[in-house]
Amino acid sequence: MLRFAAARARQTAIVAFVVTSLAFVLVHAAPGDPFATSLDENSNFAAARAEMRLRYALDLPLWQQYPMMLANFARGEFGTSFGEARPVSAVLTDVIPDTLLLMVPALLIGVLAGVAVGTWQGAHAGTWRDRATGAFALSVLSIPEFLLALIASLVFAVRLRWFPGTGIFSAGAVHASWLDTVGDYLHHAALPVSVLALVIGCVVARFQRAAVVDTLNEEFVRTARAKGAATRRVLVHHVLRRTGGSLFAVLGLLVPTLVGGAAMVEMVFGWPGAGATLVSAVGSRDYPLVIALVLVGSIAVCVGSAIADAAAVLANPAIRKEA
Amino acid sequence: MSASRRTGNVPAFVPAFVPACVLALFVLTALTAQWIAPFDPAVSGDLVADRLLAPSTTHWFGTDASARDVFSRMLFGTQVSLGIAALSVAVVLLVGVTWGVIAGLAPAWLDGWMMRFVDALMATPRLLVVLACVAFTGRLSATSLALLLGLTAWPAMSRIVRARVRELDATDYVAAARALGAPRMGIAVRHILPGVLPAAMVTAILTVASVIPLEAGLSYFGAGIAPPTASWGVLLQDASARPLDAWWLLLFPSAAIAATVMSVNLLGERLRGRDRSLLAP
Repeated sequence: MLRFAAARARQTAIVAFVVTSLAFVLVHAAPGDPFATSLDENSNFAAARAEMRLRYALDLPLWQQYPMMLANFARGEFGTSFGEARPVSAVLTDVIPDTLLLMVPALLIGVLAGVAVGTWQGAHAGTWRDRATGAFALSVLSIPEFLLALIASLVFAVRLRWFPGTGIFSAGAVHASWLDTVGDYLHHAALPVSVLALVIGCVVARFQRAAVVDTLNEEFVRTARAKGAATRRVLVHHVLRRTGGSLFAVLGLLVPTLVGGAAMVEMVFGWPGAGATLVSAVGSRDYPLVIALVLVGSIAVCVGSAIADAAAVLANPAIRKEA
Repeated sequence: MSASRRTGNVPAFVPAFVPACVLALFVLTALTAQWIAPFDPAVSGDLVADRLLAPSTTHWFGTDASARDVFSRMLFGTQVSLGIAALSVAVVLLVGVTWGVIAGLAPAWLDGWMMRFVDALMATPRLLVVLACVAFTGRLSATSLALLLGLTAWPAMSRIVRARVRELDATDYVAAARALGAPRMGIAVRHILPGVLPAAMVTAILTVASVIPLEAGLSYFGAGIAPPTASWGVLLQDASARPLDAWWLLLFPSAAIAATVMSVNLLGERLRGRDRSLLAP
């Protein structure tokens, strides 16, 4: 387990290094300037710009800037967000919890529902109910996340007005008690979490179904049946234990895609999380914020995949050799 | 009826020619857009009389807020979206197959480093990388977006190709070719590459199913290709301003994206058969 952790930590470090270097190269290779849009041509443009470039060390030679940036990152200093005029770390502590408030419930609901539906499908493989469910899952997965989110928002928030269409809490609301706060969050979270959970659930159900169909053909399942174990017991005690490992492995591979999908859902629902912030930072060329968010996102993905792979090994020690 | 047919997934019950025909129709549309478009997609009609018309016999898919014919814009949008998909898949094939074949035949230390690099790329969320690139280069042309999408999508391909190369490298006919003194380059090109191509083609098809939604999403959020070039995603962005009163702006691009991705998925899974090693990228 220690060797596994060391290998993954090394891989995470490589990813972080590659991503930061790439971002650094892009920042300095690209034309344009983060201060260009906020300065009016009529004002003392050149002087003000020169001063800003000096203050944020954009004039130093690249071979000095690069190690400086890496050293700052290593200390956890991401500089000042040009757009929000406050430390990037303060922005990060604001947006990351909001993203977790979206992703964690969606992941829990999606995986649980996906496993349940996929197992049920696998146990009834070939029936019309299995096929109808499979066709539904394939249809959902053929629609991009942002489009699903857009349709859900149009139908349930704009037209039917059952749920609010943007934000995580009602604007300017003062909550009387923590219960009110939770209720407000649930009301806002229902749509984005459902969309994301639906997508995750469909992906998981498809893998789970295939894994259950494969496992049901194995000898140990026949043995369990021969002993007289009931179908439910065979599924829960024998089949699910076998499929758990591959499910976690699949989840590990899917983490990067899920992060992308969550970002798109955030944008459609105006969820004040990391994904929506990243897109607006991209629009305003807020370099320090973009680099920090991409870096944090990549590290989170690596850690997520590592956790999923570790869970896969724990669930099925037979695949340990690949770690 | 065989066991695989009974327990097969949905694709096994849809004849393969259905998704193939849908895709062929889209490709044909893209190739002939210039000749079948009834209107110029970039030219506005009467800005007062022809604005936001519902679908009719003149404007099959209605008109948009700039009084442009949506059907014509869809035809050219198909060209752009499928063109981007084709170009990025070509990049994926070129880079992924080359990288995979070299890694598969390289000495162990080089193979280890090449695959570690692939692992690192696969662990990097593509959307973040593409967004970061857009942040620093400004809006992209369709060609550069396609190249960017291709350059972020090849690692899955190279991993599959490498695995297949290792299998083939252990076969008797490759050993025989080596015993006959065939040069290493010749073995790679004449004996291993042909065996790799089927798996590579299936992966390429499944790659389309990830490129099209990504392009549409980026363009929808204004981080994709720059107007006036219209892809399906750009058309959706046009629709987002008035989604409820002008439903035709939203419906047709959405349906095109969903139909294409679904056909690609069905076809890819059908070709992939029950080979689990060809995990969708």
